[in-house]
Amino acid sequence: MAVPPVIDLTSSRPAQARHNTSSHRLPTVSASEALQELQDGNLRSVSTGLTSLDGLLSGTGDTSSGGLERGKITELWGPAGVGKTAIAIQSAVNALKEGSTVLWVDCATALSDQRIQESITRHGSKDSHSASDGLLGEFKHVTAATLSHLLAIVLHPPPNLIPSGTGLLVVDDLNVLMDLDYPRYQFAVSSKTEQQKWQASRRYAVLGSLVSGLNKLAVINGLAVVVTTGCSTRMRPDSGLGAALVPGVGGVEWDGGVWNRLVVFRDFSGRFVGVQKCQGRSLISREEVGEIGRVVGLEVANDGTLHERQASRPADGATTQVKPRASPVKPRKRVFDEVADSESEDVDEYGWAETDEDAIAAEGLIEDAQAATASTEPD
Amino acid sequence: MTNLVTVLPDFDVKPYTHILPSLEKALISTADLLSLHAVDVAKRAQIPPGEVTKLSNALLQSLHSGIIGTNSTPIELNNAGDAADQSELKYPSTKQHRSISTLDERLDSALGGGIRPGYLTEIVGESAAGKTQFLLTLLLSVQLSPPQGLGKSALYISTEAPLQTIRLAQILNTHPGLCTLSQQERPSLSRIQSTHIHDVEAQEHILRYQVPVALEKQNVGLLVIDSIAANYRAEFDRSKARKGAESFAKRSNQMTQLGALLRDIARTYGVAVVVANQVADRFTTIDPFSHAYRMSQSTQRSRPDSPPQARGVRSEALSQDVPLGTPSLAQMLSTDDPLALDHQQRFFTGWGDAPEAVDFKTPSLGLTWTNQLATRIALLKQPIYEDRAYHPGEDRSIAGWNRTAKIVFSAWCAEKKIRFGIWEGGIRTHGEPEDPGGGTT
Repeated sequence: MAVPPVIDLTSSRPAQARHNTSSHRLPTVSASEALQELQDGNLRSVSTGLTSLDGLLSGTGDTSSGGLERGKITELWGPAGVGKTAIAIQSAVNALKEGSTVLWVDCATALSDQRIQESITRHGSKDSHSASDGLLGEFKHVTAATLSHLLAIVLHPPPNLIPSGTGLLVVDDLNVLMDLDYPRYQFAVSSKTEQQKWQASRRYAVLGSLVSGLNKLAVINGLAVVVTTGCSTRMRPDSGLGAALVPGVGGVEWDGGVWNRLVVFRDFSGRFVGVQKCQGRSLISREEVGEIGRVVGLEVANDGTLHERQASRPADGATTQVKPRASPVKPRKRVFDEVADSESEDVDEYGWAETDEDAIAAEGLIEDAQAATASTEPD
Repeated sequence: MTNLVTVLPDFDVKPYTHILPSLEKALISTADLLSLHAVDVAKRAQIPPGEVTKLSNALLQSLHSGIIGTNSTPIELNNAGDAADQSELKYPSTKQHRSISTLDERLDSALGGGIRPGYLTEIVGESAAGKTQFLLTLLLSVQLSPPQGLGKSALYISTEAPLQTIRLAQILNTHPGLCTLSQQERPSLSRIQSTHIHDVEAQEHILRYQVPVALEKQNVGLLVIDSIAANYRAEFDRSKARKGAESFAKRSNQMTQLGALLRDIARTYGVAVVVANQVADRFTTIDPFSHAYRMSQSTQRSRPDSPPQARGVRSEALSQDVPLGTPSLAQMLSTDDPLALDHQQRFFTGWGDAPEAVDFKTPSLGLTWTNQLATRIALLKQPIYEDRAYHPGEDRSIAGWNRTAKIVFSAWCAEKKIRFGIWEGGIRTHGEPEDPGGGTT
């Protein structure tokens, strides 16, 4: 008698399910299978091309395997022209070099084809021309004309848009698209109908849906997501400083769904990337607007790529050595207990600042210790 | 639905006319429909959920086929059944990499060929900085056949002064790249359409409805708006009476809508949209570089909510955070408030990116408008004073101008600056393009 074949119930078929190219069935992967594959650590993070930044993002200082983590969202924000798209392009080329496909979604300004072609060719200059063309074929580029188009891509992805083997999804310039449908600044109309109040709350709700959708795409497809956005301003009346730049999209739901947040900004000596949120933990306090977190210096090479600024490199002779100065904006009227002793006193010169604080702390300890011994004395 | 017409202009609404008014009344937009469950939408608008689902599915179908693939191979989104939708790639891609020359070799090379179609470009500068000269040149060069131009006509929209036809003729007759051409190749004024817009409402209507028609009928390759800020100036003055926050919100939304409209036009019709913008003076506080000033301010400068010795503590904290052997931040950053708008503005407005710069201008229409642009070219000018003895109290007399064209940021080329002058034939550069930052401009 033939032994009935053992039915192997535990055989998981993630590979088969995903490579199912039949047009009748949506290739599905269960979330647990996808998570398992991610946690197995088979998939590498996508390098940004900036070693120190990769190290910072890994959370452990590991520069060789750090970078844009798969299954997670990294937000890159900063003012116009600072280099957000450039970093995204570098990361895309790195993903292509590793054999992954890249999906690039334009939200506002179209990515210049020449720019991506030149980046690919530059990286593959040692290889043949056909290799570069092959890489270019793995770069998928679409435009989302409105937020509805972007939501259609993210929340209800068409079956063949994100094939298996996609390593990176870039959404470029999200805030412009958001502001069109849900303006950032609302009219402060006194008497709002219930519908108007509901509509005013939609911006953050939709951002929440969008970030959930992106996270889902990231985990199920095992890809890294990069969202670039421009900036907005926020006043800082409490600290008396002027307005500061803040990310163009925000809100509790959005911030909660973003794994890393990087700010790209400029100074006289060059460009910088600040890591404000990393590994899901914020490196700056929520109230601090204008904090930059941990910083890596950048420089732009002649071919347009961004490299890390070398520590050993002396300052350029052309740029003057600018001494650090505090923001020139005068703070508001001081609270009564902070009047300076005298105009000419230089606090740092005597080091009273640190020793004062230590002294106060020490006194407190001594007092507490005395109280403790006093209370335990009568025994 | 509130914005269905702008999202999907060709969507067939006939099967849904019975539910659209309710959706409209409940202020539900297309994005809401896609991000909410059908049941929630149905409850809000008081319509049957089944109908909502049908509408959502139809919307998704249209949106999926409307996602533009800009690769050479069209993205196969639908199954084989929808071959008709796939074959028409409605939107011409920008991959041909054609440009509109500025008729100056060095400026063209700095711009990677010239002004690119498919993008929204801004030329910003003070009055008499050379914006109009630049634009007039483009109106002529777009008519040249590739690679110098696009072989198409131009549309000029003025909001202040009308099109300067005499100056156009002068450029045409004097510039060596134009006057030597044969009759057929030569650009002509008859291929430049021009119109005038007086106020914001007319601008909205003309840009949204009439310009697209004109672009198609006249085979236009360049749309110029000179200037974009003029119509809004009157608006802002009028609105001073109202609350500041509300008018700011309204202005911000207007900028976003305008930017989207112009970008749409550029992408849909493959035209270069070039707008001229004006500037306002920008004031910053007095120069804190003097040592004496810094010493006197050392105890007062800290933020009130942190201890008075915050300055010392803060720079220490920064240097502690720097990992992996990078140089101490105090040496790299010039200020302890790098994300302040005042500081960052130096780098994306075009004025102020050298530490010694003193004369700051800011492009009008604010940060929201800046976010809409693909490229900003700033035309700066500095007076050259006559070098002679002056009587006390006498104003210095201006002998000439130092003009600099600066590519402040661009989607298709690197940032550069180059000196230029204005002559009968338009714009002429002096010297090679340099990297910006450094010097006094």
